[in-house]
Amino acid sequence: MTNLNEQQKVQALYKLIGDRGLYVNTNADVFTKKPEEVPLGVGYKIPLMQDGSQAYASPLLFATLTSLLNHGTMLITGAPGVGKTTGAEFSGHFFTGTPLEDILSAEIQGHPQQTEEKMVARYELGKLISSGQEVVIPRKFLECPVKVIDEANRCPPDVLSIIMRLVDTGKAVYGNQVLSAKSGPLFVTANYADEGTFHFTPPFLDRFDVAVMVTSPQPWDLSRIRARGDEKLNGGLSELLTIPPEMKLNFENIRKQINGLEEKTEYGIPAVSAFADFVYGSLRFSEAASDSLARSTKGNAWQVTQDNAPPGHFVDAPFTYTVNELSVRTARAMMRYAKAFAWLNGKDKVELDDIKAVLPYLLWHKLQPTQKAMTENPKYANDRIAFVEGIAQRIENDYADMMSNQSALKTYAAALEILRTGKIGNKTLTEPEIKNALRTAITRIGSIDKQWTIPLASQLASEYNTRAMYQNYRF
Amino acid sequence: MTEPKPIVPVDREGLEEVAESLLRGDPQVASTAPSSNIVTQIINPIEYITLPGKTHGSYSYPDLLVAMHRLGYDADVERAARTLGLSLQNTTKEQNGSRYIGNINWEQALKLNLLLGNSTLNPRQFIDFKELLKKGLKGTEVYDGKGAVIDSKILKMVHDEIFTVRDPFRGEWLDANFEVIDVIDNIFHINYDHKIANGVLKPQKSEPLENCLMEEKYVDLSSANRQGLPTRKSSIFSRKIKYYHPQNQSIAKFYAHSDRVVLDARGDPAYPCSPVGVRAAKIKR
Repeated sequence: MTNLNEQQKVQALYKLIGDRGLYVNTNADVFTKKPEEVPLGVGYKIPLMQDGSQAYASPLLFATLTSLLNHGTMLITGAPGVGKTTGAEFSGHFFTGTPLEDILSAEIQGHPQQTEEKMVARYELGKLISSGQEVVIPRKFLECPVKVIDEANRCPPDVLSIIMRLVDTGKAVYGNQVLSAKSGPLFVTANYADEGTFHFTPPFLDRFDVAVMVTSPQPWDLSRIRARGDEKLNGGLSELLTIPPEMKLNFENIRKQINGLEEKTEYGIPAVSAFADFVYGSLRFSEAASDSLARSTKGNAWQVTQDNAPPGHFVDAPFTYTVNELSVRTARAMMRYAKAFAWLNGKDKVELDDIKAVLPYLLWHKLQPTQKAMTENPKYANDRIAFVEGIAQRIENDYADMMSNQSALKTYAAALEILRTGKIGNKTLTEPEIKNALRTAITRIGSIDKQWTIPLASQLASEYNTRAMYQNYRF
Repeated sequence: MTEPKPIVPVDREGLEEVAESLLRGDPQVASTAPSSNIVTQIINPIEYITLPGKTHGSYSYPDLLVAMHRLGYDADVERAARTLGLSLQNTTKEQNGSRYIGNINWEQALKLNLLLGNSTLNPRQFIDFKELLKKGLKGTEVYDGKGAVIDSKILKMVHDEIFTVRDPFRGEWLDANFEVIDVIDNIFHINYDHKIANGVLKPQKSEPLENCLMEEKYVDLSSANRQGLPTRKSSIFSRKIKYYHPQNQSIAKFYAHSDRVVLDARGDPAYPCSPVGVRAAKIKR
């Protein structure tokens, strides 16, 4: 096995981790193409991958992608003893080349007595005592390329807020000194809530690019786990942890390749970003927040929320299923992970399938279901991934509906063209003509009783107002 | 300052005409364009069979071009599929190796064809197509999309793919669905010749089901009424085509396998089936 390209090396490492029994889970739940679903008589459906498709287990897949990104952050949840922490440690080791011992020695264990000094940095005591000099010594955690915080929800909220900043910016402040964490993935594990855990707040959860629910291995996987040997009987796993030389990764190249991957375009517009923006816009809107479109966002629905407001005009729109909206951080992560996923699968362009495949894992830990959603399927309380898959399907339907309404889209595009050029063909329009055309376009689009018309009409108005404002100024 | 782009992909064809209508203050776009947004041209007319237009009682249709093979995956299909939010690929192949898209349900299949500027044959047209192939095999001249006579070997291949009892299972969706619109008086409707309006399939024809067999039988398709449903059982000597009669909220498809060929009007609209695809038809211009 020589001359592998970087994608092939990553795929080979992914397989190697499974083959060596280090992280075994054949529960494939992410597919590059929507799988065929074979119904079981008892009501479940079993996915069968299509020809030419790839299938991955989400915990290892996203640990892989997160390791390849510069400051990727991943939350790993699940029941105790299913391999959350070891999966993260092994992935970090294999995909960054960091020795496992270094990862383990830098790892932070969550518990109520955890402190900033133990996690982030400390003063050099000798100098502090002898000369009063405040020399900051960063903890190994900051300097290790693979950062693991185990059972983070056993840390109290004030400690979590320090972690929050670290997750968000890759930086920590100790004393008056800003400390930068070494570039690399951050894995945070959390058991499901029990009497010894603290609550993760929505802003904290929003900091994680991606989250997975680790399930226990399938019964047929146990034989492979046994086959790796029992480290409690025979000591370490050192042989199993060696990385074959031909699989050593070149991160600079990988990150450059992922970053340089372009999107497929449709009519000159990047199609994946357009869909990602549509997802963001679909969940942003809230009728409960305000009668003003400028403030009718979920973020502003802080007293009367999507949950306790009387039913509005759009009773079944996707936004009625979530209490909160998506952050800009999330919108950016969507493209980042879609690119990484497309790259891993050897594509030369990012496609809609790529973003659809990763989307549930980027959103489930952030979106809070409304009572309406919970009433429709009480299991959404456990299975938030299914909840997001359901919303994603509704958003996809709305997107298809919008894309098939040629009349509305052309009205929107024609109005935009008039606003930007001030012309139709070679004919220059007067300002009153431009305004009238815009008014007609907004009225025409607004006559369609669909949520997706609101951003289209609003964008036209926004462009007109901006244009008019700059024309009124004489610099 | 960078110009912000449109937030969605829009086909720029005809944009100037729409802009003019905005200037005039027209409340709606005056356009005769079809409601689909991805209208493809027939790329290779020799891969289409001309089905002469027919009149069956009060129903008639113009000359159609019917694809020799079920719809396969290509760039146009990919674009249409994306519009529908579908992830498609060829799932199976015809005996001559031509691969086609399956694993889509009835609604997705019809919408896909419509977005591509095609239509799906309704049961009446499908039976006429069958008769045309049969006549062609007996020596009547059948023409392709360019007007050339089609070789009988090709006709035999097309006929065999659709109508021969053999493995593997293969089939196609037809443009008809059925519903009981009045439970008390048991008024059954057939809906066909669908178009897309505001993203939803709307039948151009919705009418009470005319007299047809309402039992599961082997049938004589030459007895089909103007809606394309059989009115007569087959004789015990020619049990070739099985028929499943319409049910409330069912759809139509045609399939063949190692045991029989079936006109199935009791299909589940939501259920995709891997070897069931869709055939493109277009009005001959």
